[in-house]
This record gives sequence, C-alpha cells and structure tokens, in this order.
Amino acid sequence: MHNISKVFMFELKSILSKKSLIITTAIISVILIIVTTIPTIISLFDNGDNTPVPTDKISMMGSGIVILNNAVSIEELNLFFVDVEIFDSESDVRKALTNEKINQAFIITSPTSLNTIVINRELYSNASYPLQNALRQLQIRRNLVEMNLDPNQVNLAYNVNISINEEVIGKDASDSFLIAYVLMFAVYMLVIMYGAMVSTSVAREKDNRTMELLITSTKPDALIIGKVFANGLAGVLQFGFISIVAILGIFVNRANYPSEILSMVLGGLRWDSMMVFLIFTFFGYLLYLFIYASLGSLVSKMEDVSSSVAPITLLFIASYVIATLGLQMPEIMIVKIGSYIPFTAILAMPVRYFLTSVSWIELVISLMLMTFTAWLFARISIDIYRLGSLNYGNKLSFVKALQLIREDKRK
Amino acid sequence: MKLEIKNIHKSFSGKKILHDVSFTVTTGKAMGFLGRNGAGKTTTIRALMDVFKADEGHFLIDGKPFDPRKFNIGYLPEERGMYAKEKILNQLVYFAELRGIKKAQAKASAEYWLKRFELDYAKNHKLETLSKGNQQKVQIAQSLIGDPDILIFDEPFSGLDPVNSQVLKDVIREKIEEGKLVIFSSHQMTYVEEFCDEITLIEQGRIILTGNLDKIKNDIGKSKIRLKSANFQNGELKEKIQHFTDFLDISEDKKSLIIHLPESNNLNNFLNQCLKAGIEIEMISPYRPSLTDIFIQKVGEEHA
Repeated sequence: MHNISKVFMFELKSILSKKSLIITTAIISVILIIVTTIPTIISLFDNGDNTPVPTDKISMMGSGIVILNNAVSIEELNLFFVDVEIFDSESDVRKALTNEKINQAFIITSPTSLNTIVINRELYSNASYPLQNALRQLQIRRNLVEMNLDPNQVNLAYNVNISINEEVIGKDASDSFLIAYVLMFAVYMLVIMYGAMVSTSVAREKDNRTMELLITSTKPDALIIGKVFANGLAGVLQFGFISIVAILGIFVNRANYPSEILSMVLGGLRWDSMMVFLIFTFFGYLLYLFIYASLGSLVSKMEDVSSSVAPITLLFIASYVIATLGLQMPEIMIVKIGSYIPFTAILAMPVRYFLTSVSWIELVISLMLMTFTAWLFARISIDIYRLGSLNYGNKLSFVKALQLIREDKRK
Repeated sequence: MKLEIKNIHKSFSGKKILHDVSFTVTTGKAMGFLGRNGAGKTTTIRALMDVFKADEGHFLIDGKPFDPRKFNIGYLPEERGMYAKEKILNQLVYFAELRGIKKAQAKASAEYWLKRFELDYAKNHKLETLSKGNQQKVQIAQSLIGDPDILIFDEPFSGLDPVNSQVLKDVIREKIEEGKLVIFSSHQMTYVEEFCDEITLIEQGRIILTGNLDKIKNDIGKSKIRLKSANFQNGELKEKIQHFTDFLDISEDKKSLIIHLPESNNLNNFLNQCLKAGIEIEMISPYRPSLTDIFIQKVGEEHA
C-alpha cells in the first residue's frame, strides 16, 4: 500500500509535468474560452442599427431574378421576399453568376415555371424552394380570384392550429440530449487518450529496461495499480480543468446566450443522472485502463503498442457507436444489452439513464458486472505485467499470456 | 550473513535452463559468478531476485527462506534501464524509496554517490542528456543508494571504460571490506580475478566449479611447473621433454611450457633429466593458473 502511493505520486508528477499535456490543456482551454464568449462578442458588435428582416419575408441576398413575359410583377415578389435583385436578361444574370456577384439565378419563364442556375450544387441544396413556393401561392391566389373567391377568406379558413399539451411522466430526451452527448464524447476521449498513455507508459518501461529494476524493488501490484490510478487521475484532472473552463465560460457569458441554448445545456443536469454518469465512468474508465496496461505489458518495443491495443480500441469504438445509437433510440435492444456488458456499459448505461427511465435493479446488476470485470482485469493485468517483465523480444498474444500465467500458477 | 542457492532448477517453455544450481555466498567475501554468454548467470540472478519463481530449489539466508523484498539489496540488472526523461536525482530517490529507504536518507545517499562518481553537476538533468558511460554510472549509483547489505551486480563492467571500471572496482572492494554480501556475474575474468575470494563457474545451466579462488588455483596448479629454456624455443623444448618417458602432460602458453609432473617423478629428478639433455634453464616456477586458464580448462572438460 505504501509503495502504491509512491508509484502513484511519482507517475502523477511525471505526467502532470509533461509539456505536451500542459500545452494541449492550455490550447483547448483558450479555444473553449473563445467559443463560450462568442455570444458576448457578437452582442458587442450589435449596435442595434441593423434594420431587422421581417420575420415573414425571406431575404434573396446573393440571388438574381429575371422575369420573362411579365410572368409575375416585382410587387408580387416583394410580398414574399426582401433584397430582390432583378436582372433584365438571362445573359446579364449569367454574366453576374460567372463574375460571382451572385450565387444563384432564377429565370421565371411563366407564372408556374422557373429555371434555376447555380455555380456549384451542394448535396442537400434546395435553393429554388422559396421561389417555387411563392409562385405557387401567387397562382393559387389568381385561381381563387378567377373563381370569385376571396383569397383572404380562404386563407383564414385554412388557418387552423391544433394545440398539443404533452405530459412527460419519465424523462424528456430532448432536455438531456446535448448534455448526454457532450459527456459521452468526453468519456470517449478520456479513455482513448489515457488508455493509450497507460499502455505506452508500461511498454516504455520494458523498452528502456526499467521494468526489471522496478519489479525487483517492489511488488507488481503496487506498480500497476499506482500507474493506472496516476494516469487515471491525470486524465480526470485535465478533463476536469477543461470542463471548469467551459462551465465558467458559459456562466460568465450566460446573459448573452439564447434561452433555448441555456435550457439545452442545463436542462439535463440532474444530480441522479450525474451520479450514475460518474459511477459508471469511474469503474468503466478503470476497467479500460487496466486492460490497456496489460496490453502494454505484452510488447517490448514502443512501435508494437498500437497493434497490441488495437483490439480493445476497436471494442471501445463499438461501445461508442452503440451509445450514439442510444442517443437517438435509447430503448432499442442493442443499447439495452450494451448497458449490461461491462465493456459497453461505460457509455451505454449513462446515455440510457440520461434519456429514459432505468430501474435501480438494472443499474445495480450492470454496475456489479462492471466492478467485477474491472477487478478481474486488474488481477490479470498485474499477472501479465509480471510475466511481461520476462518476455523481451517477440510480442505475446493476450491468450498466450493467460496460458503462461495459468502454467506459472500451477507450479 | 550466508546466502545459500540450493538445487535451483528452471525451465522456460519446456527448455531446461538451470540444472540443480547450488552455491553459497558469505558476507565479506566477494563471489564472482562466471560463465559464458547464455550460460545461466542472469537466469540464476533473476530467480534469486524473485523476478520469476524457480521450478525447484530454495534460496536461503542464514538458513531461512530468502525474500529479496525484505532486505535492502542493491541490484544492478544486466538489462540496464532507468527513465530517460526524468531528472536523475528524482528517479534515484524514487527507486530507493521503492526499496523501503526513507526519502531524506535516499536523497542524501543519492547525492553522495553522484558526487563520488563526479556526476553531482547533473543531478537535476534528465538522464538522456548524459553520455552512455555516465548513464552507466548513474545505474551503478542507483544500486549503492541506502548502504545495501547485499549487492548483486549482473555484468557490472560491461560498457564501462577503464577509468570507470577502476572506480567501480574501488567501490566493490570498499563494500567487501565493509562486510557486505557481494555477488557479481561476469564473463570478463580479469576483473573478477582481481578481487574475488570465491568463484562459481556455470556452463549450460550447470555449476561446474565453485569454491575459494586461491584453493582452486592451488588445486589446479598442483604438480605443475612453468619451464622456459635459454637455448631452445618452446617447440624444440617440448620435443626434448617428450622423450622423458614419465612426463605425460605438456602444454604451453605465451610465457612458457606448462608441465604436469606425475607424483612418480619429483622436481629434482626432472631437473637432472633437463641438464642431461643439455637444456639451459632460463625460468622454472610453480604453475599458478589464471582464472581464464581455469575457465577454459573447466569448460573444455565439461564439453569433453
């Protein structure tokens, strides 16, 4: 126990004094400060002189319109649009397009037909839709007049709103979506970054032959537990610091945030959800760190680390994909199953808990499975670490390592 | 203190590496553990240091089971390694603390040995900034911190230049005089010969010789003499002597012929025969084999 704290402190100091960690944290923090301050910056430049665009009219800025055969009048278009720029001929509008004075051109050939010309078409572009809609409305109006019907009265008859009053007994997924997504992504980054750091740290001790000195000075339990907890805490400190910067940024600038964004950020923050998130993250994070540590012990050269940890990284990416599905559809079977499997529960269970109702029995079963698996992998990683100190040279497979450990224990 | 290595067997993946390895080391006497590359020296030391368990056999200290983590042991592994990017003093203190030495004592001791090895200027430098030789000295300093009762050096002289080898030899001598239990393995016989009281030879995982070096030299040199002639080259001299019927075993090295006198033919009789044969004697002396001679002879016998 005494030596666990020695290893822990040495490793923690070593990680926290790394320039790369300090610089990365500083850069991310500065970016977050800037991003969270954007609404305030915008409000500083907003002097109130801008004429607001009427909310029922669409701006046609950047578009050129040619009206052929007096198909519609400018006054009619002004009923729907602002910033309308009319060109005399198709050649004029094409010239303006070629010179990139406008982005798109519409040639209204008749009251019910138009041609659209764009420089490049984007994948989901539907640039002509507003004009198409306006021509349809104008033609309906003309048709109604021809039928001796008052367009305003018809419009009034169509204007029926059905009010919906929805009561949510459980949880409203829309409240928690954003916070669940942000936290899930943070845990994903935490595990990927610090898992790789633990395995690299263990492999480096073999690569530079420090391991034999360590393993003859103290027990492998102390070395691996101290190392895993130090790397784990370093990750939590870095992410905690970044989170505090983000929260402070939002808090300081909250007066300039639109209320709907604030409610999206803060709506899902409940103490029970946060407790579930923290507990599952803690044990799941430890589980992954121990697995990464044991995989780092299987190799003797730094260049072999990435291939050694690839299977567990793929498994964790699968866990991330399942949790992402859970954000859209938290009740589907794969997400439910995933919230019990220790390797996927780290992300799937908190996401389910944030977005839907999860019984405490489910939480306890999932947590017990996860803590048992974390404990099991802690034991295995200690044995592999000790075994790994003997194996310089070829990379050991995880299964071969387990066989060797079993043989060793039989003696 | 008396450390007994008793009947150690060890196999890896079905291949037997150590076969019934036994020898004893006592306080105040340096034990040189010798063998060729791959003979089993490091495997024995790793088993002793509990890096892995022996398949059979025991390590005893003063008759009780030996647990290396319960003793203050200075260990210099063959596979040298420390943290390249850590400050030297920090990591020396860390390694000592892991061995149970108090921080203040570890720091004072680390500073002493760094000064002794003329590296005190670099205590706050990263290890990777030092030359290979100086990194080697830091490794040796690591094993000496906290005044260990037992010192185990695996190939301590490999990679050291003559000046630093001399520094290490002085330190080892000093530790032996202080009554420490010292074991070191080597395949460099001249270093071992200089200050080892006891030697153990290992070949292909088997102990082929163990005991007091002087006694071994006496036993092997018994009934052997060196002979050099003023009027014959070694080759001609050997031709002449071969006609003396009773002299069965004649070999030579750079210095002289080495002649094994059988008990039936004493030195006086041999000298008379030389004079009768017209041999003018330039040098005659009792033969004391070097450690290299002993090593070659014993390894040769093992393979015969």
